[in-house]
Formats: sequence, C-alpha cells, structure tokens
Amino acid sequence: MFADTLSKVLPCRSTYLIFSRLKHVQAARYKRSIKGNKPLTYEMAGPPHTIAHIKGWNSWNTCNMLDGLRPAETAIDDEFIRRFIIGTWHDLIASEIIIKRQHNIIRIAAITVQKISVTKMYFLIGYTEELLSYWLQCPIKLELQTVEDRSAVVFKYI
Amino acid sequence: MLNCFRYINIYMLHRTTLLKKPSENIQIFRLTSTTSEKLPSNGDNINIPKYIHRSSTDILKAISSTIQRDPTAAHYKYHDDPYLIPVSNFQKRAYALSQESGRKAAHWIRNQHPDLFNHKVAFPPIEKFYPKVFYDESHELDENELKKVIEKGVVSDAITVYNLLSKNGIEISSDTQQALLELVCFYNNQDDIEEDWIEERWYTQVNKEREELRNTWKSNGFSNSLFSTIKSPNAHHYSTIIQGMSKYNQFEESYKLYKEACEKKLILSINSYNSAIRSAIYVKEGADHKWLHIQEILNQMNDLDVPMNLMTLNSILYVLTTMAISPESKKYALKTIAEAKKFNIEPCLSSFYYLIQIFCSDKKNKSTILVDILNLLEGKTLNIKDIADTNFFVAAMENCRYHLQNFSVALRVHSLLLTGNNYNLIGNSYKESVYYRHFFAILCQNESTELLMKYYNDLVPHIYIPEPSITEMIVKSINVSAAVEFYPKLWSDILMFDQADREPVIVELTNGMAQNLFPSFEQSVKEELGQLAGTIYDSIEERKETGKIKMSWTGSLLGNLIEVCLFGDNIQNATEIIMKLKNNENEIIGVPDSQNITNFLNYCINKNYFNEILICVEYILEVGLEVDLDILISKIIKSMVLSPMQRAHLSKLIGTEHYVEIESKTESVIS
Amino acid sequence: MNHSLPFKCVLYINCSKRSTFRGIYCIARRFKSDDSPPDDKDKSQKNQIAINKLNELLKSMKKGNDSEIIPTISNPIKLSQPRELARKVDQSQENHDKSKKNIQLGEKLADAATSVAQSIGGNTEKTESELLNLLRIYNSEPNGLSEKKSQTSAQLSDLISGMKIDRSRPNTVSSELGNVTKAQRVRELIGKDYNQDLNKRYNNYRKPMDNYIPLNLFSSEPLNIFKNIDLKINDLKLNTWDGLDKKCLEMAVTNPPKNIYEQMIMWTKQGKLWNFPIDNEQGMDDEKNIFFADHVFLEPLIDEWCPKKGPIRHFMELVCVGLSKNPFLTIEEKHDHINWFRQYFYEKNQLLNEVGAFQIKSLPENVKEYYKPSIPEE
Repeated sequence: MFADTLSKVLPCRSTYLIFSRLKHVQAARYKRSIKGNKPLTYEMAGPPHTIAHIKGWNSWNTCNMLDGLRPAETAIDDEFIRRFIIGTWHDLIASEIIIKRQHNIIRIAAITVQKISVTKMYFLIGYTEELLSYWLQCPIKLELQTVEDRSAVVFKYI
Repeated sequence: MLNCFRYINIYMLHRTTLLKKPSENIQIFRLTSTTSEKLPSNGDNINIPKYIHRSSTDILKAISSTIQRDPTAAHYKYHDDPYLIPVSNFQKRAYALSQESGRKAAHWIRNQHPDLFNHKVAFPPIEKFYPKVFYDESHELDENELKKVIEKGVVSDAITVYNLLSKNGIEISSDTQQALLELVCFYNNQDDIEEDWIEERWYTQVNKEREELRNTWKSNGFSNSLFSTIKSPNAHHYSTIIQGMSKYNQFEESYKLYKEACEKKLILSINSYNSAIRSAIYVKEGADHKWLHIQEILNQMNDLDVPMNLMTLNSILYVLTTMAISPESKKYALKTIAEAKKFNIEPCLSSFYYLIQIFCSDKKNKSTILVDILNLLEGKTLNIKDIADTNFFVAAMENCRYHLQNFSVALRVHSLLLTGNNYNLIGNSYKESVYYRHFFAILCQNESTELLMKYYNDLVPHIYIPEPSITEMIVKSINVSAAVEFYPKLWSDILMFDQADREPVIVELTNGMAQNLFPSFEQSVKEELGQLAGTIYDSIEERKETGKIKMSWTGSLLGNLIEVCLFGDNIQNATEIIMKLKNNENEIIGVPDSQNITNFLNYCINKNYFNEILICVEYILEVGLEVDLDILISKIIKSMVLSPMQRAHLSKLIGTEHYVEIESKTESVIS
Repeated sequence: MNHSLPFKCVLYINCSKRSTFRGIYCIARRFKSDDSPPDDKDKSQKNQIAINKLNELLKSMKKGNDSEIIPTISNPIKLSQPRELARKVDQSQENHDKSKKNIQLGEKLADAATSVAQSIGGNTEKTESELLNLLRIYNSEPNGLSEKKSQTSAQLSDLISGMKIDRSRPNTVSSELGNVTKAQRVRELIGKDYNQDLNKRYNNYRKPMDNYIPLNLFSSEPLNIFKNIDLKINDLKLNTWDGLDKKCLEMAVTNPPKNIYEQMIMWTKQGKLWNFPIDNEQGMDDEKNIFFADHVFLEPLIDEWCPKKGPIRHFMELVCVGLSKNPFLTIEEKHDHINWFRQYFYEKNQLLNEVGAFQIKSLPENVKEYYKPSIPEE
C-alpha cells in the first residue's frame, strides 16, 4: 500500500528498483507452524536481508564477483557437496553446510550429532574428504563440530 | 624534510594538472621524474636488492614456523572438538587409522570405477586426483610407458608392463632394464605403502622393526628371474642385486654374488661394498674375523680407487655394534671416524646411534660419549641421511635413563630434538612414546615434583600418554615429595587413560595418600583429599560393577582409603568402605591395618556416630582383627551418651557378660 | 667413607637417599615459602612447625622404606653384622663430636641436611644436628616387620633400582629370570657383590657424569687404509636406486602434519595445491616462452598472402585486431585461426577471380588436417 502511494508521489519509473526489500519478502523465510513448535537454527532464523548483518553466507567464494570465473559450475558443485554430505552423513548433520573456497582448497563446515561412534565419524571424515577431492579435483578439508543432541542447535521455535 | 615537501607539492601539482589537460600531463611527468632522479644523490644510494627465488613451499614454511604448539590442543590430525579428541593411546591410534581407512575406502571406490572419475575439472590438471591406470593387453605399450611407470615407482605396474612388453616381443633397452632391476630390488618385488598413507606408516612400523634382522628377501621373486635372464651381467647389475639382497638381509647370497663379481674384476658401486661390509655379521663369527673381513673389503676398495662414503662409515660402525663386547671395538670405531674425516665425511645421527651402542655396552666403565656427541650436535638443524637416523633420539634418551642417569643431559637431548625441524627425526609413534617413557622416567627419578609436573602438564596427554609403569613412577615421585595438590589431577588422568585397573598404580597412590596426611594441612586441602579418596573408591567400584575392571580389592588398600576419607571428614565414604569390607569379606584379600580401623572407631566416637560404630565393631568381631576392643568399648561408654536401645545393641554384639564387665570396670575408673 | 659404617646404614642411604633428600628438600621449600614475614617471633614459631612437619615426614618415610631392607635381613648367611650391634655402635658414637657424626652418615647426607637447615633458616646448626640425629635413629631402629605384602612386592623394584643393577636391557633380564621369584632374584643380586669392599661399592653408585672426561671423537689415528683420497674416483651410480633411496628417506621424516600450513606444504609437494606465491599462469607452460608481441601483432601473418587493399584486407585486419585482444587462445590457436581464413579464401579463388578481386596464390605449409579445406574439383 505504502509503496504504491509513494510511487505516485516520487518521479520514478519502477517501484521494484527502490523498494526491492518490500517485494518478494517471502523468499527464504520459514513459515510459521500452527502450534509454533517448528525448530529453527540460528541461520534459518535470520531472513535473507540479515546476511552480513547478523549471519553469514552459506557459500563463500568469489565466483559471483565481477569477472569471477565459473559461477554456474560453482553453484552446482556446492549443491553436489551439500547433497553428498547429507547423504553420506545420514541423519547426522544438524546445521547448514557451509562451503568456503580459498585458493583451490574447499573447506566444508557443519555441525553433526554424536549419534555414531568416534571411530566411525573419523572414517566418514576421511572418506568424505578423499572422495570429494577426487570428484572436485582439489584438496578438501572438513571442519566439524559435534553436538549431543539436535536441540542444541535450535535457536527458536516458530 | 625539504625534499619531502617538494615531493608532495609536485604530487599535488601532478594531480591537479591531470584533471585539467592531457598535454600538460606529460610535461609534469617529466618534471617529477627528473626531480626524483636527483633525490638519491642528496642522500644514500638506493640499492635494489637482488631477486630471491622462492620455492612454492617457502612462504608456507615461514608461516608454519611462527605457529607454536598449544599444549592444551590435540594433534592437528584430530578434529578440534571435545567429542572427537582422543584421550588414550588406543584412541589416538584408532581415530587416526579410522580416518585413513575412510580415505582408503574412497580410494578403493575410485579404483573400482575409474570410468566415473575421468572428468577433468581442474586446471592445471592434478595427476593425483585421476584414477590409476590399469595395464592389460588392450593397451598399446612401448618402452616409454615402462620408463614412466618406473619413474613413478609402482613395482606391480612395472612388472606387468614389462611382462606385457616381452610377450609382445618388444625389445627393451639395457638402460630401462637396469632401471627396472633397481626398482624391483629396492622394493623386494612388492609395492611399498603408498606415500599417501602417512598414518599407516606412523603406526605400523612397530612390526617392521621386528623384521629388521630377518631375511625377508624373496628368493624366487621377479628380481632374481630378471637377473638370471641377463646373459653377462655387468657391474651395474651386480651392484643392484647385491644391494637389494643385503637390504632385505639375504647376506649369504649377496656375499656370494659379491665374490663372483670380484672374480670377474668388476668395479661395483660404493653401496655394494657397504653391503659386503654389513654381511660380516652373518658370514663371519667372532670380533677378530669380522674386523679382518671389514679390513679386507676396505683394502679392495682402496685398490680399485673406490672412495668411502657416509654409508661405508655407518656400515662399519653397525658391524662394530655387534662385536661391542670386544674392547677393541671402541678403538676401531674412532679410527673409522677419523678415516672418514679424511674424505670430509661428517658422521650423521645413525653413526652416533651406533657409537652410543658401541661405547655404552660396558656397564662397569660407564662412558659419557653421549655428552661429546651432544657437544657436536647442539643447536644444529639435522637432516636425515640414513634410514637408521630415526633411532638416535630414542637411544640417546634411553642412554640418559639407564646409563648416565642424568637429567641435565636428557634435557640437552630434548632441546636438540626441539631445535628446528629435528622433531621429524623422532621416527614414528612407537619410538616417540618410548622416547618420552625414558624422559619421564629420568624426570621421576632425579627431579623435583614441580619440574616433573611442569613437563607433565606440557606433554600429557596430547603428545605422550604415560604407560602404567611410568604412571606408577610419577605417583611415587609425588608421594616422596608429599605434593598432595597433584593427586586429584593425577587421579583424573589415571581414570582417563584407563589405568584404574592397574593394581600397582592404585596401591602406590593410596599408600602415598595415606602416608602424606599431615594435620597441619589447611582445611580445604584436607577436605579435598577426603573427597578424592571417596571418588577413588566410587569410580573403581563403579567400573568393577560394569565389568571394566577386574582388580580385586585388598584390605590394606581399603584401609588406606578409610584413613584418607577420615582425614578429610568424609565419613560417608568411609562408612561405605567399612560396609563393603563387612559385606564382601570373602572377595577382599586380606584385612585393613588395625590402626586404620581403630582410627575409624575413634573418629566415630569423637563425632558421636553410633551406627557406624556398630557396623565397625561387627566387622572387627567377624574378621577377628587385632584391635584392643575392650579399650575402645570402654571409651565409647566413657565419652558417648548411649540410649538404652544403643546399649542393648552394643552389648548384644560383644556378648552381654563381657559388656557388663567392661562397663563396670569403666565406671569404677571414673568414680 | 667410613669403613666401620654398618652395612645396613649404607644400604639404606643408597636405597633411599635420593628420595629422602628430595622429600626433605621439597618439604623444606614448601615451608620456607610460608615464612615470608620478617617477624622474628613468628618465624621461630613457624620454624618449630616446620621441624615438626619434618619429623612427621621422616617417620612416614621410614615406614615406607622399611620394607626395602627386608630382603637383606631375611638373608641370614650374608649378614655378618647383627642389627642390634649396629645400633649400639651408632649410639656410642652419638656422643662424639658433630663432625664425626657427619662423616658417619655419609658426606652427602650431611650436606643435604646442612642445606635443608639453611633453607629453613633460624638456628641452622641446631636444625642440622637435629636432622642428622633423626636420620640416624631411623637408620638404626629395628625394623617393624609388619609391612604389608603388597607393599613389599611393589617396593622390591625400588630396591633393585637403588642397587644400581643395570637394567638397560630389561627384556633379556626378565626372560632369563622369568621363572625365579622376585625375592630370589633380589637375594641373588645382593649376594653378587656383597663381599666386595663397601667403599668400592659406594664408588660404583656414583653417577658417571661425576667424572666426565671430554673425548674428541675425531682425535683418533685414522685407519690409513685409503691412500689416494683426492685422486681418480670410481663411483658407479645407480640412478633409479638412488632416487628411490632419497624418496624413502624423505618419507621417513614425513610425519603427520602439525598444522594447516604443514598440510598445505604436503599438498604442494603432492601437486594437489596451487603453488604459492599465487600465479595466475600456473600450468600454462606452453605459453611461458612466448613474447606478448607475438600475441598482439598479428599483421605480419597476413602480409604475405593478403591483398594490400580491398574488402578482404579490411576483413582480415579486423580478424587480427579481434585475435590480438583475445586472452584465451594460445599463439598456435591464433595462427591456426588466421590460416583457416587463408584456406577459406583460397577455396574461393575461382569466385574471387571472377569478381576481379585479388587472387591468392599459395597455401601455407604444414597445414593441420582440421584446417585443410576440401578444394572443389574443377
């Protein structure tokens, strides 16, 4: 409403450009559940416009900058990494998977649940690092933290 | 200063003109350049330093050298998370190897499905990430391929390619054949552990050492057959096969071949002569014969103008270690070193390792050669020159412990180990833990508890986890100096390292605690000790119930715990232990010291704990401890106000008549 | 050393002197740190407490050390001097002057007592003599044999280490004596050099570092087997072997990386990581030796076949400009590109002739298969 009236007052052609924050406001926001018991992690709790204010990015790379190389491929690779890890660490990942690219190293950070023995966890770490590095052909480093229970990563319920 | 201003002025001018007109721009540029040329003439000349070529790892090394070890952090290979940090030797090994086996699983998958991994994403292409090439008959092979495989050092592939080539009737040049022979001889016809599996090498060399002196040469292997196909072997072929055989301790064969080559008047490689020297251990017996053998070979070398090298020195010293009982060996060793000095050969770590063995074999006349060696090495960054170099630090520390029994020398060895990159020469995890075992043993025997605990806090548990015998020594050392404040920390560590089932450790700990109870301690310390004794009892009991520990309680051990509990006013646990003693009489070996029990009773009398007294008296009567019960009972009667019910209980326990007797006696004394 | 010193006493000193010293030292230090206030009265009080504590400690230590002596006593044949006698000798000597007492207990013990007394402060002489007396009493007092069995077995090893029986090869010792009980072993070990002069034995206990004589490792006379050191050298090289040997040595010192930078060094060596310092042209080895001018100035390539003017010339110049700005093609690819046009126009020779344009005479040499046009037959 406000945007519409304002556009009439101001001499500009498109409200979209100025008030982009007011449009598409539902993207990447979680819907409130009826009972208000839907758990959100810290990352999920912040809507997109809070990135770089109260939370960071999930993928850190320079591909989308001006003259950045292989932006599309990077996006696909990131999605591959996320799916691979969620599948390999079945029912163990309790947080978002953060992918950081530096030089030709990819660092993958996540929080896991202490549901399997430590030796198994180390096996999976070794396996994930090695197989991903064969697939993406660069050194991979996993940076994991563990929590006893999923509820430890819940920031709020909506 | 003035120059500086001029500079700034010109710069400003430059800026403004730049914005105005492009034609003026050029003029100003000239102006600046002329002035700046004049500038150095006023002051010093500018020396442009020469370009220093940096290798690709130099900057990383420089940054890495600025990182110091954090004694509270686990090794880098473990994830920095409480759940994932190992706390015992077993866990350290298991976690590191699990990770590696995960990597191996990925490796296996790639090798099973090489077709899926043939995509090329990286530029520049990274060879390491491509799947391994499998050689079969479908490949079109030539000699270059064989050369490439030999270059990579994969034995099995090299043999396959060679066989395929000879099947197809392709001739191979003698150079390549020689290279192949060298490859298979070096690795004894089998693939080495791949260089990627660092952890496997770090943890598995324990077995290798046992094999050190065994003949492991594959006598029907590919190398022998390849050697036999060569019609007239030349010096290269002979050298290779001799070196290969003696590398895997097939000394008799290699010595035979050496003789054969000598008869043919071939000049072999220096290392073949070294191998021949080493074969003295197996071929000759007795110190004199061995030395003659060495001299003979050295003379041959001299006749053929073959120089000596570092490995020659080490080989001779190695042979001398096996005849170290002979008094001559020390003299020979020094002479050999002097001879090597003529060739400008500096002895390396393994030479010193052998020297220690030679000089310190005599237990009566102790040699201080290690100090002389340290004088030479101190402050130097050492490089590996011989595979046996990794034995030096362990041997040196062992020497400090058993031979010199001197901590300051041990400290010098340790500081040498921490110089530069010398820590890499520690060898493997097994050697590392043996090294620290000796180090801590010397510390325990010779130094104050404060110093011991300083090193303990620094090195345990992330670098070294003490073996039960060392834990015992540490406990002893704390006992002797009555450093009671370290008991809690030590106990939690013992629990963490799963050493709570080691009886000597527990016995030593409880004895020490019971002996170091001084009434002058502060109240907080007392309470802490009392609590600790309770914790010790509880945690062992808990582990016994779950079957983790099979150790059985002994009376004296429990007696000591009671003593400490009482000292810290921990009556609750003390009673628990008395109950335990009473209820599980048959499982407990021996009985506690009667003094402990008397103390317990006295304590209870003072504090007016009647129920505890009853339990204790019952126990005393059941076991028949040598306690003067009468005196104690009379004390109870004297100093406690007993209700009729309590009196009845007590009299029932010790017999009514007896009780009345004591009562009357006591009363008469009072009146 | 005094020869008349009772055997037991020597043994005691040797067995436990180290631990005794350390105990006293540590305690003394602990208590010393307490009495920092310079108040004299307070100090003397504290000294008294300290001495009491020392007494306690010594008693408790005696308790611990008794069992060490048990095996010697239980060996009736060897013990020539009865215990009671030893005590009497001690007590009679107690009346003598202090210097003699010190000798009797061994100089080291006396020294230790002196230093302890000094570190405690106060009446040094008094403390010292008290300490020495105490030690002597504990040495000569008859042993309570009521020690627990478990303790004995644990402390037998102490005795063995105290006797300085060399244990540098623990494996062999244990295998030799595996069947013998510990007590037997101890008896044997004691029996071995019992008959030796006590004085001599004490010397054996001295640490080797006490009489350290420097030794120059290079001072010896050489073997003098090798005559011509700098002359012609016959050195047969096995290249592959040496290479493998070097690799093997490198692997022996390659331990698990200690931090991320060491891991990156490892990755660099394995060829997995892009090299530092950062180089955007890494791996472009083909182009390393090509001068930039070759990339930018491509006109000379068309000069030899292109007409000097006209639309073809104009077109080809544009192609050159375009190529010179292209950073993605190698020099070879650029040349091939131009050659393709040359081929193309050559094919169209007939047409060009008909229109009256220029004629292209020759084809370039070494044309790649891909660029070879199919020339229409006439």
